[in-house]
Amino acid sequence: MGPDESFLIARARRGDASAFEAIVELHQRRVYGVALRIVRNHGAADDVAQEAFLRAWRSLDRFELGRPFGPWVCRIAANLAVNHVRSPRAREEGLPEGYGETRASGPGPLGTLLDAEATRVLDAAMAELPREQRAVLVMRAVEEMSYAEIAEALGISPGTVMSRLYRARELRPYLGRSAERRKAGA
Amino acid sequence: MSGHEHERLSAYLDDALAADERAQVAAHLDACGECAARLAELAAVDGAVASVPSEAPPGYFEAFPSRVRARLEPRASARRLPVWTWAAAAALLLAVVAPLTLLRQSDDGSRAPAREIPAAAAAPESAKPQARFEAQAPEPARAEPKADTPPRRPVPARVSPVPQKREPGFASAPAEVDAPAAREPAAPTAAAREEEVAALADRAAMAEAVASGARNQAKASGEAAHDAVAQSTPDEARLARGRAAGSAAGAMAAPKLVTAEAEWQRLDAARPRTPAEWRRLREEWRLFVARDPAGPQADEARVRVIEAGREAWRAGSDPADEARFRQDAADYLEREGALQKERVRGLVR
Repeated sequence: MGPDESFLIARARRGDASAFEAIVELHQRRVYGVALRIVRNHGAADDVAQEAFLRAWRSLDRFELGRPFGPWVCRIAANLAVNHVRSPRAREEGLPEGYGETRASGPGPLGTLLDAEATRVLDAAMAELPREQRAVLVMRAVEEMSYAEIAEALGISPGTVMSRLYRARELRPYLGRSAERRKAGA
Repeated sequence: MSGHEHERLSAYLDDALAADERAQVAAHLDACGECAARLAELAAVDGAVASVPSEAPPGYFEAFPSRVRARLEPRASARRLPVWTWAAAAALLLAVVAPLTLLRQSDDGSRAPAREIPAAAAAPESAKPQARFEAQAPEPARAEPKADTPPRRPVPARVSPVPQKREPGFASAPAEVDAPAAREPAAPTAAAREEEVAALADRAAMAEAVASGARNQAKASGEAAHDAVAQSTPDEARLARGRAAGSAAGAMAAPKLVTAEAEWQRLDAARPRTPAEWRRLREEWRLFVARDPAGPQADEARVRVIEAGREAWRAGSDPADEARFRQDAADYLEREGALQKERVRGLVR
């Protein structure tokens, strides 16, 4: 967290809504991304992202200045997202048409391999994951949270995090298709 | 799975194994091509998941911060007054009580205590504090408010009327809008609101011109503070006591900080809903800047002027609001020493 963000957070803690709005602007994409990957539809992700920031606002006194704000609010969002998909109201929907047709802005580890089809396959595989596994995978793979952080955010033990992560990473449909593609290309 | 390390590969990937387990898995990977390939696949899954874009509908992220802000409630800690404010309040009270006591003792009977002056015998509009202010203002002609501007709050009969001509300063604005009665009356007409906004704009310009004079005004005598207390509404009285304390203590900065902070909190907590309310907030922020153009909060307040102007435009789609917003933003961006130009460019975009 840079000095600018520390300054903004200090002001927000004194009740400065404008400073908090600037903080939201800094972290909104990340928080929304975590929420969307777990709840899998825009409306629910929007609800979760808003609620995550509102809870962060109410809990700013408990936030330790100097620590990174992004992971903290992402943990709140992940926890909310898991609870959201657990709720009876939640209805998991496929992501919008064309969702996988735009690549990430930066080249990721598989950046050169991920074409639109591969992304759609991955999306389908993610959809098949039990939501708790999906949440753990997103928190680890996207947010790079530690097992302890994930455990704390979701209220589970680190051992449970480990086992869910192992099962989630299997992503069998995706890996199967990847293997086929590799063989076809060989 | 016997003979392979599949179940521990995931934790190995995350460096979440104990040292001895990690060594065992590493040794196995050196000898087992299948497990090594499996490890690569697990890592590939992480990379793939992280690479999937998380896109939102067009314009979503532009609007999201202000949507969150609109839902923010005042923070509990912000509502609690810090300890120093209680200490300051005690000092201010002492500073007011002492001159009042001295004044009463010096009364020879020909002059009734200020609190007992009946409304019918109230002082004329050209009250003493304002007269002194006009004498000190660098541009007295500009400091003259519109003669037909009515007082915005009814004055209780038990105190003398609030002079229509009042110094521009932090003491004035809170008393006019902070009280619940001022926020939740029968809705004023649009024309009345426009007049109010125009009056605020006039006052902002006026205050800019007399900012240095206003600082001198803080040195007003204890008698002036006494008059102000007697003639003012409760909020004004509180702020007038602040000025008096500053004078009595010979510390001008303290009351200025107290009142500026109070005004900041009040404006920051405002939650306008209509275009007219946003315009009003815009002008109140402008007035805040004008009162202390070189103050530590002036830069942020200038941005608030622009933000409130943008919200007024967005709420009402009035071209005049858009023009004002763009002009304010352009003025800011041209301003030497402006600290948040990137933020303002973002507002314009």
